[in-house]
Amino acid sequence: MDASAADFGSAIACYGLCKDFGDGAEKRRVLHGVDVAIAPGQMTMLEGPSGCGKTTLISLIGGILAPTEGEVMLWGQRLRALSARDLGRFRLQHIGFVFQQFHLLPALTAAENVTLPLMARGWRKRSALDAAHALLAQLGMEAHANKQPLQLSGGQQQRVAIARALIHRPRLIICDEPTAALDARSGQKIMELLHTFAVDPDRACLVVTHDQRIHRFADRIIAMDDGRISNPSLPAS
Amino acid sequence: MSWIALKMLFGDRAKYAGLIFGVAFSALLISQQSAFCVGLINTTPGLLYDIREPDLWVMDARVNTIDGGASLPDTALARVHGVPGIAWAAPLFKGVVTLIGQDQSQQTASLIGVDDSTLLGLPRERLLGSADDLRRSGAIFIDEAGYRLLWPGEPLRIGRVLELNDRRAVLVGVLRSSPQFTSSIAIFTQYRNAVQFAPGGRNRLSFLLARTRSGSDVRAVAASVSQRTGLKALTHDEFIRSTIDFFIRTTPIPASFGFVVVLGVIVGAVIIGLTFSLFIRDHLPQFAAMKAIGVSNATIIGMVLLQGLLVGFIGYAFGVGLTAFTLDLGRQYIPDFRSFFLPWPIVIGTAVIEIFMVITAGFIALRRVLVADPAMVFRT
Ligand SMILES: Nc1ncnc2c1ncn2[C@@H]1O[C@H](COP(=O)(O)OP(=O)(O)OP(=O)(O)O)[C@@H](O)[C@H]1O
Ligand SMILES: [Mg+2]
Repeated sequence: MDASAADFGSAIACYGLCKDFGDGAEKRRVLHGVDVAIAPGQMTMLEGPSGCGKTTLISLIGGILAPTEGEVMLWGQRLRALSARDLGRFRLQHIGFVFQQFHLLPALTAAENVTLPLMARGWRKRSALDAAHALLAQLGMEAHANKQPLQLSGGQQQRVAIARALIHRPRLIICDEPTAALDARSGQKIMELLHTFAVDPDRACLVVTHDQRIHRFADRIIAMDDGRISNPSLPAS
Repeated sequence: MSWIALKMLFGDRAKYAGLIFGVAFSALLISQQSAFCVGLINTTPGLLYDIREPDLWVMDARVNTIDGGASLPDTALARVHGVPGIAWAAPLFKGVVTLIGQDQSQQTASLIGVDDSTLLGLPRERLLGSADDLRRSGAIFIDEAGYRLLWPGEPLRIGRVLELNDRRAVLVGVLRSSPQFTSSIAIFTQYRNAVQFAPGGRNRLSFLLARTRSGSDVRAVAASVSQRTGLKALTHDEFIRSTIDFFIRTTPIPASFGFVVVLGVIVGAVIIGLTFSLFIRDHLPQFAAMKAIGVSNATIIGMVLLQGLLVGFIGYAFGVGLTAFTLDLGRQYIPDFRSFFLPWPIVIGTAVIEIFMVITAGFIALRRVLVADPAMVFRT
């Protein structure tokens, strides 16, 4: 695949992605020409051994890191074509992130945390909070909406984080090991929620995981090894 | 986003308090020590603030301050009188006496001898006694602060007897005068009495108070007094300036207060800088998560500036408020502090220094956020 053969039917298309870390003698190539296309309306999982470059790949796809070589296209938009500022706006508009460590602001309540992407887009606090409460209720968290993150269990915190990733209706949800910090039961519940809310015909959901137990939620599993995709076209069973 | 910035700040109680403390502490040191310095320096012209009638002060060419030093020859009065443009001239004695109270305690007091006939130089705000009683032999007025020092807690009462340099003096009045730098007690008497009280009884004509004819150019008359008599003639304002300048130049007051002010700036900057850096460091993952989500650098800068300005404002209000409060206490309970105040340039100057400190500390700490790789949110 190359950029001239852009697949506009894909939500995500990566062409020849390479990423180096470090300079000079310290320089290490972590991604070695990754080509991958991801369809909307599916939950795509990315798995592989520790250190193989999964996080690096989703950072490139999410526009948080810039590739050394190659190109990322999200719904036909070349990320390289965007200035740093526009890339930030693009993320704010189109991407929702869920992190392994949740990264909620401990000083804010659950609902307030959820409003963050809306506040950053200039919403009024009142309407943002209304939207956050409504979404938290949908995620079964209405009883906890006014609690602070430290008063919540890990699973509950991750639900808040998912609400924060969904609140602004992004077209791409990127999750890095969303269940790794959770026990098995909470992990299952989180995946059920993600599957219900994140999988939408207009949306793509990319989940990095080590956790074999959640593979059953995947529509497609991409395996990575040493900075390369090892099963480019294997659909999940 | 500003309420989020404030919640982040309030959520970290220890650093929030630390930042406020740092700003308050340095604002207190800076404003209070500057105000004390100004207050102290302002007392050096002392008497000059009370004697408003003359517009020219004539003195020996070597004299720089209201505390005098070299005295004038007897003939000076007549010669100054003779200068065109001078309406009147009157002698003033300014010296120091040792005073022994009824309980035999010894104090040093400043002794001011005013013109025998006109009593020119006697401050106008009298609390007790009549100026005419001053014409009696050995009669003195004392300033209120001095009275309180000599007879603490007692009501104002005339008729008390004191010893000034072993001579009997009778208190006939109490008046209010500006605090003087060189002594806490001011005693006013007739010129001829002052000469008697003063050590050695020598003629001590310290100053000539002169008034120019209305319509004449005071500076020009001063110049011709100097030219004709060889004496120094200063306008009221020039003499105030000259006295203040002398004390600023020759005493360690500005240097010692300045040292504490600099210390306040340094200690404040260190506390604020370190605490702000710690605050930002602890919140770095949160800022990185915001950056990953797409919050712009401009918004993050705004958030940190708001946090800095808020602690700056609260700390400043505490610090300067405490300064105003201590000055107020001082004015109430310490007679020598009665003219101390908080000048507005100090209020503004302190604000500028504090704002500069919190903004600088904020920007130094912010650098870490701005260069922070948002990808760190995936790693930690
Ligand atoms: N900022 C960085 N600077 C230098 N090296 C990095 C950086 N980020 C990642 N690496 C290196 O790149 C390689 C891939 O890292 P990455 O985090 O993408 O792996 P991963 O597949 O997500 O691993 P894990 O499953 O443990 O999370 C690792 O060897 C890592 O040390
Ligand atoms: Mg990883």
